[in-house]
Amino acid sequence: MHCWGAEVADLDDILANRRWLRRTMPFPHIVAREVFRDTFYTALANQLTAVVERRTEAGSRPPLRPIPGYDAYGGGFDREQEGPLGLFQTTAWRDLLSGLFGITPTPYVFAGTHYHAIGSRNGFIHNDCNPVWFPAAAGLSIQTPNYAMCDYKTGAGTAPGAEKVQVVRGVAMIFYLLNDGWQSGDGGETGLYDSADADIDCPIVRCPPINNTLIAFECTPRSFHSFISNRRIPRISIIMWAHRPKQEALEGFGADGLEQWK
Amino acid sequence: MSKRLCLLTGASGTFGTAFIERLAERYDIVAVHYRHEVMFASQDQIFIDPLDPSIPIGANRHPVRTIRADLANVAAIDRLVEEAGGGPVDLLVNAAAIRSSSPLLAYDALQHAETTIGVNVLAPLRLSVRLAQTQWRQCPDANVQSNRNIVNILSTTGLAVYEDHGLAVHAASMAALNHLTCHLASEFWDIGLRVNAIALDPFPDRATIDEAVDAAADLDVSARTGHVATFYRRARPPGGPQPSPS
Repeated sequence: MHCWGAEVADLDDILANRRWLRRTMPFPHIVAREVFRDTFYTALANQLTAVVERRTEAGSRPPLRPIPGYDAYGGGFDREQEGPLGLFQTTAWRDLLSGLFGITPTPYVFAGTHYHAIGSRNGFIHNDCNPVWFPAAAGLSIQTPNYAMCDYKTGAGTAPGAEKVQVVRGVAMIFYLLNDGWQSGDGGETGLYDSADADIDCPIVRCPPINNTLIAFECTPRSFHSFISNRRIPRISIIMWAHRPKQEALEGFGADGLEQWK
Repeated sequence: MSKRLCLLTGASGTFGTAFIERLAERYDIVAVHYRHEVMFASQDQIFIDPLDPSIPIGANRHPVRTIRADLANVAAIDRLVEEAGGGPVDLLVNAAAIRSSSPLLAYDALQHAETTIGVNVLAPLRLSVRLAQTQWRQCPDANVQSNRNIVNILSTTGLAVYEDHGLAVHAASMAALNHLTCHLASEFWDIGLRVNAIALDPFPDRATIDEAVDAAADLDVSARTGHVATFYRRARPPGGPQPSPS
């Protein structure tokens, strides 16, 4: 029996496909199919199924909650996420994604789930180039959000100001799973666009939510993307951001290039 | 020796993907797609090893040239022929198809009928005729010498009736493409161009698709014309459709 802990150190053991496509249009991104070996994919799917179906205990936060302004449910993984889902909060995975796009790795990682019920409305075209907050970490070991100490979007919380750090989303990743039976025409793709004003139903690139497929891109002022309405089956994904130093983002994009939360 | 130039529509579909996977080494492929991307190395994308992006990847050795085109749009077909460039097309594979499925008594039964006929019948016809007008008609001897030809990819729904699967419009389009293949073969004979078709099981497995791709390559090097090769999956899915002779 396989038992994957929070530190899945050797990616070579779990990656099934080491041919990932690097694309340039409409902005640089990576797409990979059949990402993980069957055993690891199955373990991920089983664990996420349990997360999605977990009943809320009295007084506790439900694992998935409606996302304000977005027709979807979402939730971050536990801070000390165990099992295969913990992969997305390891230094190995963060370094892989950061390295693909040449951003400076930081300890700051957000990983979680998005769930779009059948018939979810289109999202909106956005770029993810947002500044966010974390409790400051020592060294490069992984630090995930802690909303009580330091709200991810606003920085509000109990931690003293000197113990909070503002960083910027550097790489976004979407990994599709549990979308069994998806077919062309079902919707639920991630659309990629060359403009914030584009027709949301006419993306330059449609990334279909095929199980065990991954899309990743550097978050820049031009990384325009959106969820496209799903018509026949739910759309489920693991989402993750590896964050970069704010100074690096300012030098690359300027203050106006950062997308402030509305 | 230079590779034969192949214009492949439906390049991101099941058949198109298998075609590129198996035959990119043999052909210079212009891969025409629309809704979804082609998952092979091209002018806009290359494979990398995520654990060592600097090492060379064999799959980048035979890139295709991708063109996005909405084949339901007449003007897009004209543009496609212009953009394909690179000399006369040696092999045109018409593999793009819309597989619409709707019972005829459903309230929206004919919602996709025009688009289905447009992409499945008129697009391969327009593309074939446009290439004949702009490239092939002027050089019948060269067509014969280069053994130029067209392979239409259709489904066996055009040869037999699959009852109660809502395939009426799709099947009608495939039957039309089947018939059209024979007429194209007859008329394009005059300019030294062969036209054949491959009819695939509507529920193919991987082995069947691979066989059909190999058959397309065999047709390309053959002398046949007006031939329709059929490929049924060997083990039919439990409870799956059984074709009845039409």
